[in-house]
Amino acid sequence: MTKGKNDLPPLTPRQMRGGVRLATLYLRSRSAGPAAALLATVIAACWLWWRLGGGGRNLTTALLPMAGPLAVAAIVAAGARSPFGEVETAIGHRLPMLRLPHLAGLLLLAGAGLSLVAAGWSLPGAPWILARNLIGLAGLSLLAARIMGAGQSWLPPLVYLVLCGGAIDERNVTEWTWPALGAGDITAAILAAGLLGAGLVAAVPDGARDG
Amino acid sequence: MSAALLRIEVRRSPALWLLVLMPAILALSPIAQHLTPVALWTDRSTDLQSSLQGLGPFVAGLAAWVASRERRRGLEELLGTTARPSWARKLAACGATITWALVVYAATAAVILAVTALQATWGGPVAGPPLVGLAALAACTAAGFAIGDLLPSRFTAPLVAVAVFGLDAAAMTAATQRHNPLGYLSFAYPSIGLSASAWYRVRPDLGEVQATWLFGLAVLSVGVLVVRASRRTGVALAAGGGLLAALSAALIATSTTDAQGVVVPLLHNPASDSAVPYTPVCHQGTVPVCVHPAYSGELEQLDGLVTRLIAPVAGLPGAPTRAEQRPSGAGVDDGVLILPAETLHGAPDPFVATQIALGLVSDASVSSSRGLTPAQQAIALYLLQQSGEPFDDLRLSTHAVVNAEHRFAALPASERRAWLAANYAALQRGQVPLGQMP
Repeated sequence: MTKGKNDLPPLTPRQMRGGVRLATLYLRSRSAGPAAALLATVIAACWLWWRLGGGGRNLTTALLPMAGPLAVAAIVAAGARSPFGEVETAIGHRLPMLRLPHLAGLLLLAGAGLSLVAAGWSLPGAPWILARNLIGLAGLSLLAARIMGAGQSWLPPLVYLVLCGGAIDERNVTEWTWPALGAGDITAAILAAGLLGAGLVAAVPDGARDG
Repeated sequence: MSAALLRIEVRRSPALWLLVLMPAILALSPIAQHLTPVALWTDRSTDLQSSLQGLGPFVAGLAAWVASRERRRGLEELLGTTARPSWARKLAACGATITWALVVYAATAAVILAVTALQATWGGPVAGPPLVGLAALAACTAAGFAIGDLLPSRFTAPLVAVAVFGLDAAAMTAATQRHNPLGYLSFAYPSIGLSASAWYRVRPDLGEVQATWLFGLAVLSVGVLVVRASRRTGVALAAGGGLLAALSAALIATSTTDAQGVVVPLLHNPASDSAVPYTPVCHQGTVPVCVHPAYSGELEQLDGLVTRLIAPVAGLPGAPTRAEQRPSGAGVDDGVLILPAETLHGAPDPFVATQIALGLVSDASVSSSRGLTPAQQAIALYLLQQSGEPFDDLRLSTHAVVNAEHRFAALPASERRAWLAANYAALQRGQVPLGQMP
């Protein structure tokens, strides 16, 4: 195979060290360490919440498959905030290459943790429901982070969660309140995936709004 | 804390988002759907308190966000050099958040109470639940602000909001499903007994304890906020607030419940238990159906529901000859079918239909002492199915009950009637085993 005109030369060890350092500094600027610790705490709290709730059919355990992913999604979206603002945007032209792995990594970590915790629950399809809700609510939070700022990105998903809670209370769950639907609902899965796609498209290229 | 500082904070507060978000939440929430014909002041006042389920987490989260502002913007040292003490700045920021929350709450109250004033069918305004809501608003804001000040991080605000939402849901579950008295301290738990509200005077016991608890939490949080700037004042406030909260928890731990709501022995005034006299309003259908005048707007709907449910057993030995709404109880009592004191909200209500169907197959004295037998549940399910009413399938969903109902419904009408004529009275007493059903 001949070498293409646009192929980049292989990275030197020094450049690789520089890349690792850049990624590390980026993650530190986004408080990725505390975020991971908080994710672990929230996942542990979900496990505890289910255990204390007795796993039966009650309001607390009905809300958990939404409240747990919401807390996790809020942490991921809050982590998108840049402490440097416009300065970083002006000089860092490859930031999306750092943003995407950062957000995707946190989401994967949280999704795996939540699914693992929910594996023993009596709720049918609990691991998938939690993962689906995390996907959708994270998408909504990232959209909000782009529009309202990462600091207030939790507001729209929380409004939505309160409405979903009301729908469960009134036994009036529809596609409009998709996080409250069961594991087998295809519409809910499509909506969640669409929201995540929209959230990533909004937040990855330009980051969260400075606010 | 100067007025000028407070004015600046009010203008720049992120709590302005509440003005946009809360009307949307309230308009789409069950509270808005309750603004239908039967308007009891007690119900509507409690709806106002329930609005804290939506408002509380937002206010707490926003307060935590505001509290971490100085750290977020890197202004701590700069502001530390100004003449005003730090607690004055913090209290001004906290006060601005509370101000906006109060504006939203007051606007909500104005709408709900104005609609109720036009529709009210019974009673007068009840101050207790809205005041508990006010105390809850102050407690959520102060607690959120104190946590945001202690742990200023980008993650604090969302986690505080979700935690308030989750803790309140957990407390509500503890109160409603486990009857744990500490759950009554949830700011969304109705501070007055709803089902008894039209029949008895308002009992203020729980409202007083809830308000004290929430006030204690608010004072405790302000103490935590002030303690770094003024140790003595902060500790005194925190201790006073903690004492109030502990006292409330101790009081509620001694409480008991009855049909009228929660009794707190140390605060209880027996005068609040006295019944309010009324003359029932009746409608002559298959059997006379009588309701409290507060519910007269739904009498026709209720009469239609009873007529459809009672049809298969009407005229049989043991069948009710009259249906009457009462604040408590269920089943047939001396030929009177007890109807639940629930508002239908102008639409078919699965809970009420199920409650009446279960009442039709049980004797009042028996149903109060133990659960219904599978045969009773199967016939109740049949009554619901043949009426075409939506019902609460969670209460009648066991495999054996559903199978027995299918078998019974498949019989010819004459055989069904004959079996009911022979067994209905025994069925009400719970003396018919499932195997004896055809």
